[in-house]
Amino acid sequence: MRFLSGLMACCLLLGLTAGATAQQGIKPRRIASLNLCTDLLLLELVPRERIVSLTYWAADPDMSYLADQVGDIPLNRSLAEEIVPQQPDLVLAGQFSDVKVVELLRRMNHRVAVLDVPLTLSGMREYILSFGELVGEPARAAALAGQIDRRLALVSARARQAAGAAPLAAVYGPQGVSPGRDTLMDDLLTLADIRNLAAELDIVSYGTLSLEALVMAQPDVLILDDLSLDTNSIAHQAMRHPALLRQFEAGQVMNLPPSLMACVGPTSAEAAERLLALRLGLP
Amino acid sequence: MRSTWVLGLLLTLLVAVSLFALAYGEVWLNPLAAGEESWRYTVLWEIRLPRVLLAVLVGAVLGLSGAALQGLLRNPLADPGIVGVSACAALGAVVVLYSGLAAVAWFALPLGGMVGAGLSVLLVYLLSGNQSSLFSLILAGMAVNAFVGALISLVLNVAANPFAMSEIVYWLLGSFANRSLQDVYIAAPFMLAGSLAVLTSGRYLDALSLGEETATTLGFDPRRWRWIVVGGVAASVGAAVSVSGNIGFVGLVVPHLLRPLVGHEPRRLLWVSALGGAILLVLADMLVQSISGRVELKLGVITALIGGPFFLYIIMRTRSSEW
Repeated sequence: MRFLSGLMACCLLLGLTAGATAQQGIKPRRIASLNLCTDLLLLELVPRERIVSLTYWAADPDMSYLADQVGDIPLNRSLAEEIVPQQPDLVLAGQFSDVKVVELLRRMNHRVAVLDVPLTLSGMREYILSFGELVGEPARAAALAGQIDRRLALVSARARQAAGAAPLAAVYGPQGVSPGRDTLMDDLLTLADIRNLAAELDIVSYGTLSLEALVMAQPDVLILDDLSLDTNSIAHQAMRHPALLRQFEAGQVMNLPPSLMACVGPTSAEAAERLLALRLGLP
Repeated sequence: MRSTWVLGLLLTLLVAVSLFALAYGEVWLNPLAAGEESWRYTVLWEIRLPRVLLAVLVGAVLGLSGAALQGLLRNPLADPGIVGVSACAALGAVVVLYSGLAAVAWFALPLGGMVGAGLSVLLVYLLSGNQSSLFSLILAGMAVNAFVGALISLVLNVAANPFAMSEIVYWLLGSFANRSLQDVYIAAPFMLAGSLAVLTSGRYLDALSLGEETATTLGFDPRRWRWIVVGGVAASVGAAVSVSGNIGFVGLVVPHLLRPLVGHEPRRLLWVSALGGAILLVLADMLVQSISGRVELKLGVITALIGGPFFLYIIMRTRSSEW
């Protein structure tokens, strides 16, 4: 698995270098994005004037920490007819973006880069650097990657000095979804010296954790992946189940909003710092 | 006399399967001996008990409503799911929940379900009357179900919550997963009141089975009793669906299975159908928990797997006589 993703990252880098030499010295002036994670990195690295389209998610404060910076940039639902009129000279898509729209845009001679957006911390640095090359902002990208690395390293160093055995955390999201091994959350928990219940129950990637299994495991802390604004849904009702909440005292429950966990990037450092604070605050 | 035996038997069975359902889960727990302030206590009384209670109540409501509607419409295919009452109740609950109105008052959610159910019972009654042919009722129900299903997905699509759209499966197929005692408290009063109203109508339904005129000469005011049955069904099914989603076929299957045991008078069928519905849903909910993969199966999948073929069987059996 790790080998495969490494291989894919290499291919991606090769592809990007080739693309960059072809367009030597020319910064893309009109960039469109079909993926929330590429939206966010664009907003971090590229001046607004050069962004011509972002996804609707970018403007949703529940999912995007830069929602207030979107302003009047046109938004898209991943439809070619929303992208083409903007006449982009570079379209960014993620590995999970709709293949159909990518094919369609390429057939109309648009330059589409399908990025392998990393789902865990490994590969984040290379991803940000190659993204910077692609959009013509390598210096800013290097600065951002360096800043995130330093913050993560600091969290790791302070967590290693934390007293006591690593506490057990249950991470619980809408519909009972919990991130197991090979996820960003698992990486961040490991960094902050916290054990992940889902990983210990052999959940790989994302799986559902029944309320019963969660209560039985008697975790030390509960980390909710909760929306702050609108919680009118069955999925969110389950997270307020009295059986869940009565297991924990005030200092043992933390809310990590989805906008911090949606993509790897600066928010990963912030999430790691919050987890460290939780770790250090425990008795 | 025979129906008393059947009642006793079903009641014993219901208590037994309910206790078994409390004990059954990720681990076996003894419901009669769980010390307070341990995780066992929490799992037993706050996670499993609401599930079992809702399965009992909702199952009883659906079984009873099926029996009552079959008597009132004098149509063996009547069932709250098939005629569209459950779907309309789900629509009412969906509007209340995703608009945020559910937080306004504790009774807002079941009230939404009841209003939806009430409108649809009236609609079905207007469309098919009480002399409906077997198939005009089903066709009317099909149209209502399709239309209301579309309205539900429309409401969920425009809802602000990003998870709303994926919850269409819950509303169309129903589930007791992650329900709390809070859900029992808000819906149980209406389920019980509605069911009691329906249960009082047994003698009227008996008389009605001999014909509307006979019922009138026997001293029943048909308008009054019709309202009692229709109102009771709307209240109980509306409240049930608002906390469990639309679980189909229970009201169709249960009365047909039990009719051979108690005879054809609707009055005897009402109580046993309530108990039978409760037993069926408690069992189905255990089955859902035991066979599910990574994500828990919806309850309506199980009831439709049982009810679908059964529905076809009833159609085939009645075709020769009433086509």
